[in-house]
Amino acid sequence: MTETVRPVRTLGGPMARRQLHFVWILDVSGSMRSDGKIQALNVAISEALPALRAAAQGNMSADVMVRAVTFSTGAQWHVADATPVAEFRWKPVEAGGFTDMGAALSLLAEGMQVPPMPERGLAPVLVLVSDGQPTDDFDDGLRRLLATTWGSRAVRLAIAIGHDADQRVLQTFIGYGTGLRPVLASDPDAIVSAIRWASTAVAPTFRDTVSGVGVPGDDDLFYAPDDGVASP
Amino acid sequence: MSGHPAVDRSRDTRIAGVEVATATVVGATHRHRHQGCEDAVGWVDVTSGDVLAIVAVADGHSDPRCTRSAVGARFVVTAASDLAYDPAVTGEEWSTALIEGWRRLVDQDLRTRRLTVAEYDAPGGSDLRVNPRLAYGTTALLARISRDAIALAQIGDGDIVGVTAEGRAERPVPIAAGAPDLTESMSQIDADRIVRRSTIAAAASPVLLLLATDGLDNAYPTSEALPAAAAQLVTTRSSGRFDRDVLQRWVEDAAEVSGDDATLAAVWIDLSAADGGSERAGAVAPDATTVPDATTAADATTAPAR
Repeated sequence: MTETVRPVRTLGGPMARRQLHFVWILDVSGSMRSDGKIQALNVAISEALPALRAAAQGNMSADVMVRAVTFSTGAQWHVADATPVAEFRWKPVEAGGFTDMGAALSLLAEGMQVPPMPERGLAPVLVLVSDGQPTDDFDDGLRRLLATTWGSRAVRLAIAIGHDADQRVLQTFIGYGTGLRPVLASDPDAIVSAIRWASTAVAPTFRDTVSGVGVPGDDDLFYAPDDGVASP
Repeated sequence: MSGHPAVDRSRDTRIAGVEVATATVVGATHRHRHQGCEDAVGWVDVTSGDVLAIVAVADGHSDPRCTRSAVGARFVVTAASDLAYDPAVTGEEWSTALIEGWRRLVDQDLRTRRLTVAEYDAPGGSDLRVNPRLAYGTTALLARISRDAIALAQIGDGDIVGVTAEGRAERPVPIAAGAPDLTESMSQIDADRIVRRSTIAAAASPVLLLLATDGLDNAYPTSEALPAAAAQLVTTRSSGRFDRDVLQRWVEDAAEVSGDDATLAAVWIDLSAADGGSERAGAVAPDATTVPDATTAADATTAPAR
């Protein structure tokens, strides 16, 4: 994992800004080949990087680190090392295979352990993007993810690509007590818009909006309200 | 303060057996948002009775509903100061009395400055109709140093760290049991139930007590760093005094890195100097011979604030 930047040596050892891990969880199953969805997703993530960097810059109390998981037949890390957002470059993904979303969440659960996650940090942001229905045990994968401290504390967002996406599964991933809903993106422009919106989740303003899930801001929140609703 | 001598919070104190040095810096994020400091720190040195000093540190919540949290934090300091002059308050009643005092100050302020429509309309502002004191939400870290014991109380996040003469640093107050993301608050209706307390007998007194808002601790990657820093701070003392430059730089660094307001009160304690000598057993301060006596204290209390 990449080390935190800007260490300050002082009493008690080096100080360091808290890390905020942002993870793309991308469906690259065969159905993503149709209607140019996979191309649109690659373009959207590339084009959203400036927005992600800008949002990260606005969060002065955090070092934003980016990773990516893809799932089709099985799951794998597309970007395994947590990379500082300023250095993150998008390498296009290709589509083909099943929709093993549960495997992706299980893999992500391993990535939410300490290490590679820091002992302290801001709640991670996990963005699930899918156009279909899981072909494996989604519930088991989610259970594993939520069994980790960081997974349970994460801000979880979901983008449904097209109307065939399983909205119930995506809502289950997000959780039902947050006021957040899956964002539906049915065409390339909407995909770009949705990906850009998700990228702003590292900004303090976004995190204030969804504070109902107990997200720490730059400093303490007290019994945060339960009425935050965000939309692109 | 109500009905008592005004407390000068702009200076450091140094009385027989106790030296208090404070530092507070606005967090980088707060500066960026043109947001003022929501922390407060204060102390009162008592010249009669068993109580030697009361020290208070408070961190007003940044929650959008807590529109008056900076005032609430200052009220913690005021309420703590008031208690110093109330001989009837003893033992665990002390922290309960402090909460009651804070509530009186808040309620008094609410009568003169009613909550506004804008405050009710802020995100989550409807909660203020149920609990108006929420607008003043703040944490509280408190130390009451007397000749026979040191009583500590804490509501919400932040840290109280004690360092023994042998250099062992620990957090003497129990850790909060709640969710790590959410802090407890003086404004809670059950504040007197959630307050965490600890009492240290004079014989086991630490030489250094550090009360710090979470802006310090959050600047570190691990929870062990702040106690280690406190232990190092002991070694930076020279000529029986805290090095104010070291303290100030430390807090400035923390406020820059954590982004949050950072405030601390460093309290040097030598109860043997306070009572003539023999109470504390088995613990000799590294520079105990230079701990000030009543003669030098007068000079020290006029030291300029940092």
